[in-house]
Amino acid sequence: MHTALAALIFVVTLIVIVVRPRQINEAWAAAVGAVLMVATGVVSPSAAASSIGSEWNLFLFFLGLMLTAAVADMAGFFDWAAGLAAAAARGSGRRLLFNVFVLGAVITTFLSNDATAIILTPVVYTIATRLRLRVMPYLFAVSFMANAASMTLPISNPINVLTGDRLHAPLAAYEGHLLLASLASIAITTAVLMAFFWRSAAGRFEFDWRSAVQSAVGDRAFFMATVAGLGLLAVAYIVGSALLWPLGVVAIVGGAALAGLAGARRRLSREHLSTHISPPLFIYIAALFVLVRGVQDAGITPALVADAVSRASDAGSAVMAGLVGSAVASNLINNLPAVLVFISGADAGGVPAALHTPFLFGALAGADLGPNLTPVGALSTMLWLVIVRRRGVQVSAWDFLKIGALVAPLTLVAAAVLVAASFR
Amino acid sequence: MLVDGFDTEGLFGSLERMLRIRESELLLVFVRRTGPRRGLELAPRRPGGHELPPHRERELADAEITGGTQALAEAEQVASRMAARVESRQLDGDPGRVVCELAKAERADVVAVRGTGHDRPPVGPGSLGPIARFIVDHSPCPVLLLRDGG
Repeated sequence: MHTALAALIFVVTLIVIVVRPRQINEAWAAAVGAVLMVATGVVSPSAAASSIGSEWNLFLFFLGLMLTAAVADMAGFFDWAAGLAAAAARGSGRRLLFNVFVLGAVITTFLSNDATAIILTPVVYTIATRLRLRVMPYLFAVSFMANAASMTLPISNPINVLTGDRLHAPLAAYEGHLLLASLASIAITTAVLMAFFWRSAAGRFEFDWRSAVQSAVGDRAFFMATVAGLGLLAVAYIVGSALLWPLGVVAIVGGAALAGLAGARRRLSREHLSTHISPPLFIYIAALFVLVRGVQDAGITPALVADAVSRASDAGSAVMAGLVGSAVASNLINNLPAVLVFISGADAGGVPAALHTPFLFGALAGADLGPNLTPVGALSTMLWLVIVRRRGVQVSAWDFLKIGALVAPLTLVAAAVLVAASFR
Repeated sequence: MLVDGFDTEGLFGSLERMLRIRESELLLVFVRRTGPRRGLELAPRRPGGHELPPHRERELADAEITGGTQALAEAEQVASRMAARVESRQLDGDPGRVVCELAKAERADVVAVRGTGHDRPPVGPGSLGPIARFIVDHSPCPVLLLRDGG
């Protein structure tokens, strides 16, 4: 009875989260699902509290990330970086496209895919529009690179932090398994999109670097201090990853220090903070932990994962099982609940001990790269396609499908081969 | 004449070769499309809700207006050397629909538009872009399709 109830609440909640009827906020949908899990006795209140409390590292990481991104945005860092990419392109639309890939990869690596997708995307859109270039190539570049580069460091994707807490892998081990796969993913994504948009990006533009910097960087001293702070934070992340410090603590200390700097320069803006710090996101994440705890305690996630890994006999096949499973699941539901299901199942004994680590590395890679695999059916994207078609915009929607169908399988295959090879 | 901001000299050169516009009145139209803005939704949306910050919205709107204004200014500069009278307008919406409605309202004699779409072969099936195709299908007056290098 509990099993059926847990499954029902979980599935219905996920459907509401993905489909978003009446534009309902995902956080509230997830919260209702979590409350139902507790109210029906599937999850005890103490188990719910413990499943949320034990993930304090991830919550701190998100908060630190948001503060850091907010201050960097306030200082004009993203506008400056996009301007640098434009200046370095020397008037060539194609060179600018390549530079946007590089920029997206660097921002994702050190500030996470969140910062790239959410902050860099509109900045690049604005600059491409202002330069009278066709915007779609640059939009696609940022969107795809946000996922493609998100395996590079543990801090490049909050999913890595979540999985890393289970793996207890120091930085050297992490990079030993994932660095080559990440570089391959970045290279493949860049090559495919450059080829696809070769003609579209063939524009020329004039760009005034000096006036762009002046308008981007209002307070030069604040900007320089912020850049220095970001550099120190990047070093702290790398050292912290190497020494297995909780990255959430590093993130919150760094983010708070940057916010303090902004406050001291009287640059702290409520508008910026409120748009970058999203309380509903914390509710969403907390609710997901309770939801997954419910299906875990009902034995569903261990069974699901055991089924996924049943044919795996060695580390390489365990990597494949984790990668394929989480990539598919990430496109059906958001990649955060997908990877939570896989972690929960692995932790609850669904994966043999010898295969636990390769399985989780595979699941991490699939959850990071999988969201580019849109043709498999990310429902939110499908709904977007329907809306866009009604407005007569056909080309870009089909282009998105074509690109996703090409890029994602190539990067997933490369990652599967390289991560599996790293366990030999 | 639908202005798109690309290869303005080439476009008007083609127009001048096809029509006697020395004594004509040209209405240049730049349409800010909603399609690319919708492309912003390609960016993974953070669950829990995250709309574009107000300052980014302002920058985007400003960039769109600036881009359109510059495209029209460039087109006006070229067109004023060729036509008797030049007027320009910057509008929002679907370019095909806007141009057809404007042509009807202004009782235009001819609608001129670039025939080749982005990322399309220069000739052959599939060479006509969706905007040009819409205008060909719905224009209340004759349509002049201008090809690059034509």
